[in-house]
Amino acid sequence: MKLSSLIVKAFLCVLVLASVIGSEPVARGDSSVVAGGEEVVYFVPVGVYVDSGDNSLGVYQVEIKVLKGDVKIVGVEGGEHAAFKKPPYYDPAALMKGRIILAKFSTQDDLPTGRTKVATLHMQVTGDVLPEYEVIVNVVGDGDGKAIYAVVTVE
Amino acid sequence: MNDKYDKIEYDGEFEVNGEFGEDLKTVYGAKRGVPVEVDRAILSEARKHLGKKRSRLRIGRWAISAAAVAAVVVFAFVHNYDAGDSGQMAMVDMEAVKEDIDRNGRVDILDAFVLARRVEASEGVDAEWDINGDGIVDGKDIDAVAVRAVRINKGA
Repeated sequence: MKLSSLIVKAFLCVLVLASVIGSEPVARGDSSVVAGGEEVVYFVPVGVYVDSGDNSLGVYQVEIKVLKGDVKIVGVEGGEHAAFKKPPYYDPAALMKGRIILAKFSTQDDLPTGRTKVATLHMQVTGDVLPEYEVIVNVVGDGDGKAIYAVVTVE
Repeated sequence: MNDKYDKIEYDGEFEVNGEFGEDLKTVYGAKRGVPVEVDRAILSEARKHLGKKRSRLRIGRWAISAAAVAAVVVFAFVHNYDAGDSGQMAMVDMEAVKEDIDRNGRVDILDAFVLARRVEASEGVDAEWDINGDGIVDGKDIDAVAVRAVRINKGA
């Protein structure tokens, strides 16, 4: 890997970390709350967004880790744009755990630009600690697979 | 104070004789000149000696530069290797070589993307990209590469 590429990726990671850590933990939203004894268990959707700016988004691979809270990934859904409507690739072994790698590409001509919701993770949260996540950008590329600058966030 | 020890009388001349006088002459007496031949010989030896030191210094500088380059290479390798350990970008092991379509040393979604482009265009499809070994290179092989890319435990 070229050093410049490493630097760009490191920069992306820092940016993403900053945006994730700097933001408020994911809110509970409209999730149903089930009381079981002393522990509260609830489910919450977490959107994964890739902002590729003016570049078209053709491919991405990101890793999402739970930093805080008793959180388990229980489901993975696709995004909003037609190019990323189908669920991304992920390892089923990641379900019921706190770390997952999501990846998807599209070879179609109509690709999104700007901020795009590429996937939704469904989380099972236990307890009253608000979850926090870390996002690590592995790859973000345009329609030709060329690496591009992008910011990935979860919310 | 006793006046007896306060005053020293000096009449302007001291004279030292004998062996002590010779020693004083040796130390403080007029210096003899160094012959030109000796001077040149010393200078020549000094130049030879300094020349050796200078070449050692050059080798030292070269070694430092080489070490700096090595440090960058090691950093790049360690960076990749660490990433592989955390599951972000797996360094290709022997089993994963087939999935590393773009031959960049790791398996990620770009490999699946490149393969998908080739399959769609029906051009330059290599038989070794038959990842699942069913005799044809198609969407199933693309999926196999992508699945490998997102595996949580890359070593498994």
